[in-house]
Amino acid sequence: MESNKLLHMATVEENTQICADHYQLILMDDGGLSKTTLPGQFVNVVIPQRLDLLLRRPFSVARTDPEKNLLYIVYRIVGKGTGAMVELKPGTKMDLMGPLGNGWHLPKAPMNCLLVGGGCGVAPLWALAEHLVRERSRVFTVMGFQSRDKVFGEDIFRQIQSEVTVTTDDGSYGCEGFVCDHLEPYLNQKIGRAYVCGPMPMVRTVIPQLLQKKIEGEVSLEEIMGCGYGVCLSCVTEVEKDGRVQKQRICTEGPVFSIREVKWQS
Amino acid sequence: MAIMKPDLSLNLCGIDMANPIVTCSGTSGNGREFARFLDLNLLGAFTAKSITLDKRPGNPTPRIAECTGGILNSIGIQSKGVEHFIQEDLPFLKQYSVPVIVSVSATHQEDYARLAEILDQEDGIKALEVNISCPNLEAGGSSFGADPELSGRIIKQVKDRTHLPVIAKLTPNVTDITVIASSVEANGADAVSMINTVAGMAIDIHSRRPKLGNVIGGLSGPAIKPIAIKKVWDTYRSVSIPIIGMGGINSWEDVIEFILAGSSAVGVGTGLFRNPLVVMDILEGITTFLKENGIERLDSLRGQVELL
Repeated sequence: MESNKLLHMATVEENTQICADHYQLILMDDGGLSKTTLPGQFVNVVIPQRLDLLLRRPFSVARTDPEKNLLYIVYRIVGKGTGAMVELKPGTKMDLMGPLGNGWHLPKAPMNCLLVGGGCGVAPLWALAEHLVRERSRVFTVMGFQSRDKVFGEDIFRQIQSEVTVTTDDGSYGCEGFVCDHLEPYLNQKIGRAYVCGPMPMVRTVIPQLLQKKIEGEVSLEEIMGCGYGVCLSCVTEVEKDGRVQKQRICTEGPVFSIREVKWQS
Repeated sequence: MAIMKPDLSLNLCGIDMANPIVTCSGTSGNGREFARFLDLNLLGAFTAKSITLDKRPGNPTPRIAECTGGILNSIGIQSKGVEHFIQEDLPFLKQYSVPVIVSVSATHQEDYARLAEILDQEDGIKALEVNISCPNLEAGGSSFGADPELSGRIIKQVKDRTHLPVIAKLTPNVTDITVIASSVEANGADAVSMINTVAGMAIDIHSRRPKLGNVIGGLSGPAIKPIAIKKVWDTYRSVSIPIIGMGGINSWEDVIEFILAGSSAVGVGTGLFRNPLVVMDILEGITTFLKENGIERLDSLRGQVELL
């Protein structure tokens, strides 16, 4: 039975605000998740002491530190669940299901990789960037935010040795505009693979540019989930495979899909 | 007197069950994913996700919204069709000794009988559950289950095409559920399962848009348990076929309550999303309760609510 591999307890180590609307939660476990979760996979979390919040909440695992048994989650406050998470104190025990989903497909040989993230979508690229640099790929990251007060992760990605461009919609920090306005210089760098995560309006402007340049790419999607493990069919998306459009579960067949297969048009 | 090992088993319209816990259709897929957590053989029976004759895409997303005490869903019977179920899913379920209940759904009433005919040819199925109560279908669905005559006719057509026991899944979205229960009983239903979800709607006040892609959906979870208990109790006094009670079951206490109201078996559904292992906690809790109260057989509690 895999249940002992999929259900875990972890302890809150840190829960800190990292920008106007994002928090970073660091959890310690016995290695069940921190040593096994791959870049781009997610966990489905019971909000502690809140029996009224019936469903688990899915969060991409931003990174792991397998040696210290740590698991990093970056979350944005969007509703009751994430609102309650702000109150989590160090020492609190949490019930996590995972690792879930497929995760990013990692290149077998070093290559130039373009990472494109928007807002909270920057978080799932963190472990990926670390992995790619470790495996000697060259990493370019374009990360977009609404405004200066919502920027996070720039220092981390620079530390990892990624080349970074930060954009803000209002120009209050970095380059003014959306990420799609600032991809051009990177698209001419012989990009072997692109990885995209962010809100759908961003995804819709990024994918056509990648397709036009014939760049292989994948996108991590999100949708409101019921179970997170493939039984309820809540989080489906349309995917075109072998010329046929089919519904696939973001929690199980995803969250990562090829940009050639996923239906990204509105 | 202490009971060493209380007996949880029952025979439900010909199905031998080790315990009264079944999965509610649509909340544990077709077994594969759920079996990563729980040995399916620990269940009294496994109910598969409703299947339709042909492939159905289901409803647009978002398909689920959490509400106070419950969950609103509108999956819309996404189905790969009966042939896919027979070829891909049934062989997996047949590896287990757990009785398998196959749920069938349709938007045209003739399709139910056709599905029964096809599934009757297959081994490894212990009963058919006829879903005449899905609130998320544009046609058919709960409109069948809200009409006593139509409900009865569909059950009769299914009964005529299969030798398997037939369970009618009832909707709570009617004025008097006992009228529907009596009609399906009169037309040969071997059991009823109840309740399906309670029709509901939720609106995001900021975007002013419905929280579900399909606008309306069905409410499940703890919020609907008292509704379900009442309808089970009403139905228990109206029909003599067994009842699979369901609606918001999350604990062993909930199970005992449903049995006292008149359920023979019980369904666990939405509770599996948060805790896929809740069935194990429930079985342990029931066993302890029976031992502590010196009760030998769980089914001796059926309908034993005491009224002053």
